[in-house]
Amino acid sequence: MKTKGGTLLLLSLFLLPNFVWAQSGVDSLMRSSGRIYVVVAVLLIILLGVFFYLLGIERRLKKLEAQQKD
Amino acid sequence: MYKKWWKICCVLLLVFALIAGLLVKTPNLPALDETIRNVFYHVGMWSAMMVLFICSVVHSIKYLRTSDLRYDILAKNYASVGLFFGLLGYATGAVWASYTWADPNNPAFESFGAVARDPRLIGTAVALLIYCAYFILRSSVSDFDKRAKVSAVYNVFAFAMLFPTIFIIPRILPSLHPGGEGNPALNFKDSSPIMRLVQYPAFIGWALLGVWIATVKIRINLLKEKSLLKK
Repeated sequence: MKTKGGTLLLLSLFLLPNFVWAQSGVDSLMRSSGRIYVVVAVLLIILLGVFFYLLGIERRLKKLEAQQKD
Repeated sequence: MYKKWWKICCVLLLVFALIAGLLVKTPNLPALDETIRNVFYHVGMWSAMMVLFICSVVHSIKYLRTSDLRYDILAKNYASVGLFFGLLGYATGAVWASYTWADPNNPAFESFGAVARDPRLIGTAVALLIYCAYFILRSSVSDFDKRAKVSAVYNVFAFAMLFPTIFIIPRILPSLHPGGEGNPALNFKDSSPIMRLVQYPAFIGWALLGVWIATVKIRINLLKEKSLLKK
């Protein structure tokens, strides 16, 4: 359960170094060609995916806890 | 554990850390270039780990004072999620370093051996291994009261060992790892005011995420214990 999210997070980090070589660091080539937004979108999807997963687990937990109280 | 507000805070802070972290203007640091953005994520893992280990040791001490097994469950789960974030921090650090100060093309790089002997890397590995031993210790004792007591005492020592291994020794010895002067997370020379605006919320966001995951694990554990007791 938790290793899935951890693996996704780890894999998403491999995206970042690929864009370091192309520019000298002042104002990145990434931003000027607009490609950084792709990276932002991908990582955001992953992050929101992790949050929805956690939310799903919490909802199921709440149901079980309510059941147990009875 | 059951409240919503801090979880919503966590989501907002991390979404902000992700978007702003990738788009904010970074200072032009030598050799690091844009990878300095990893500060928001790699160092965030360590901040999450520290917060979780603090929670864990507080609950361990509470167990020792009250002998309430609930605190033992809390301590164990905080420690396990803390260890997980520590491992993530180590892995992200390994990726980042292999493109910067541990890059074979970098003139400062001597050999893999020199990287492996880096004080900060060894210190952090030792700290994480000490927490791994905490779990091995737990699994070696079968009686749950004894297990709780022994592991609570060990937890206090494991937490105390965090400080010499991660904070004290690596700063005394020369190291290639960035942040040699003082705290690498809070060093004002390595970042800019704009970066700090993203950095600190990111650290808080990652810590909250760690606590959220830990509380979910705790709730699952408590449910299991209750159902066992009922039977």
